[in-house]
Amino acid sequence: MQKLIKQLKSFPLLMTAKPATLEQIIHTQQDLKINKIANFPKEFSQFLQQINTIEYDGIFIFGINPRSYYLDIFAQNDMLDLPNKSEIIILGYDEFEYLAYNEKKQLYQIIDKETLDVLQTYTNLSLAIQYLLKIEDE
Amino acid sequence: MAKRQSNMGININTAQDLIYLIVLDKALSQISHKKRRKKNKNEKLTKEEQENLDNLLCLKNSLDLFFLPDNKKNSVEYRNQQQKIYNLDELIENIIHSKNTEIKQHVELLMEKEGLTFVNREASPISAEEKFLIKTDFHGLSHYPSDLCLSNFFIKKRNEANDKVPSTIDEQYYNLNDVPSWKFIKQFKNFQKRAPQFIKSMQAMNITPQELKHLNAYDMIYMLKLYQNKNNIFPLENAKSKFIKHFIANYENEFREYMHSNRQVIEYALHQKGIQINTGGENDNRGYQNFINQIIAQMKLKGSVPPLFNIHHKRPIKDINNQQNLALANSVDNLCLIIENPYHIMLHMFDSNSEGKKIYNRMVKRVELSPKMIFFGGFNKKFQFFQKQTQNIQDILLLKIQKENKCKNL
Repeated sequence: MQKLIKQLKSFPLLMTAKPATLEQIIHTQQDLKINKIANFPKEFSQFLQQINTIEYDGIFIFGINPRSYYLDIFAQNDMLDLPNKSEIIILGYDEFEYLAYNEKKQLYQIIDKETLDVLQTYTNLSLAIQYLLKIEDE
Repeated sequence: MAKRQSNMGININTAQDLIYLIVLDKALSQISHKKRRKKNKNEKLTKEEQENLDNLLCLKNSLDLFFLPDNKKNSVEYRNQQQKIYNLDELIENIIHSKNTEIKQHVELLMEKEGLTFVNREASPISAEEKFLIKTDFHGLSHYPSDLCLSNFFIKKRNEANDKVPSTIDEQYYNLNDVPSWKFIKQFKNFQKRAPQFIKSMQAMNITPQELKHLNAYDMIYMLKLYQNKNNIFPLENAKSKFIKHFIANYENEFREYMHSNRQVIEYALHQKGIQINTGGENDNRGYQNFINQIIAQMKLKGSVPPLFNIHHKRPIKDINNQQNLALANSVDNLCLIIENPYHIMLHMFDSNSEGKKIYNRMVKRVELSPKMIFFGGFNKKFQFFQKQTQNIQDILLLKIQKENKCKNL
């Protein structure tokens, strides 16, 4: 994960917000729980404490935005009209696909935005983010 | 015509767009806000929430100032302007009173009043293979397709490939038309140009010409990527980068002008996202200039989508309905550079229904943008760019021949 974070920080014009605080993360997780939306894993919480939201080359990863609904993980998941919200939380998106976390299966999933078919699965957040951000396979 | 200036010292068009940006952001934020847990149960509103409401009320009371109809306007324009004020006024009222259903309705109404039209989606059938090719053409070939999609035949060949020597069968015996999905793959110039690489990659995998019929599109793309990686071949340029490079090559001046005249809009959007970027102070134009220069340099060099923007497919890939030319989905005519928040998000707000059914089981709405629109920077027509008229070489030659024939006849 640290290798990916270092790599991301070197990308020109990669837009991120101020790192999320532990208090903000706990607060958001409680909001998700109350509204019966699946929770994000510990690995993603740790990621948010270093890189909170990503906007890069037309690709977006959610985080915690106290100012607006925009890229805020709770607000965006609440707005999205998707089934199985209690099992799956959306972590980001590009023009065609969602990056999601399936809490029940404990897997990161790449889901087609229209058909909602699962196209790829990952057990590791770094690989899932690399896929969404189109960071080349080694 | 002299530009009308608002009290804020900015162009009236920019001021109007800034109001839309503020109100729409607040509207979309409000939809989920009510569901958030209060930190302190006794506290009705936090200080920040109260300030937000006060600001919105203040904005509501001053709408006339920014949307004040010009006396010179005719009655139709006057009515339209007044209607916009009513709509915004109602929308703000709904935000303040957290009426979520009404908020969505007013957002839709506002979009319609600003000239956006809703149409039903066609949602023609499209296979996962075809969709995969459209996505790969758009985003490029950064990852190997998942093993879940590869054919059993190919997986077996791939596993054997390390033990066997590459095929020595001459290239001329490989007919790509024998691959069932080649009829789709070749529709994309990006892939068509790489036909020799596809054949070489098949030879490397020890796939014989008789076995081509077993390959699917995922196998083909997998082999291409493997071949390019092994031979250090520069990967294909994706449609996304091509579009951005085309856009900045043809509309750099307009884009610069937009970024400068809408500085307040851009800085507000950055602030809303909590981005700490040095765009300079109010009187420091150099910082903001550097920011724009950096963005444009990346657009030219890498074809990167500028921050705060996204690329919108005007006709969704399911609505293209042209099996003979899938590449149309990623053509310049079908793409539009658009501000992500709130405009692009709003365009997709009506894509889904509450049941979350598959798209081909439902008729949902989409916003129809002009086929010529290439940039959407706001509702105001001044912040929208349309494709310039260009004549291709054949049209020019035809005109020349017609002109010469006319001269001869005379």
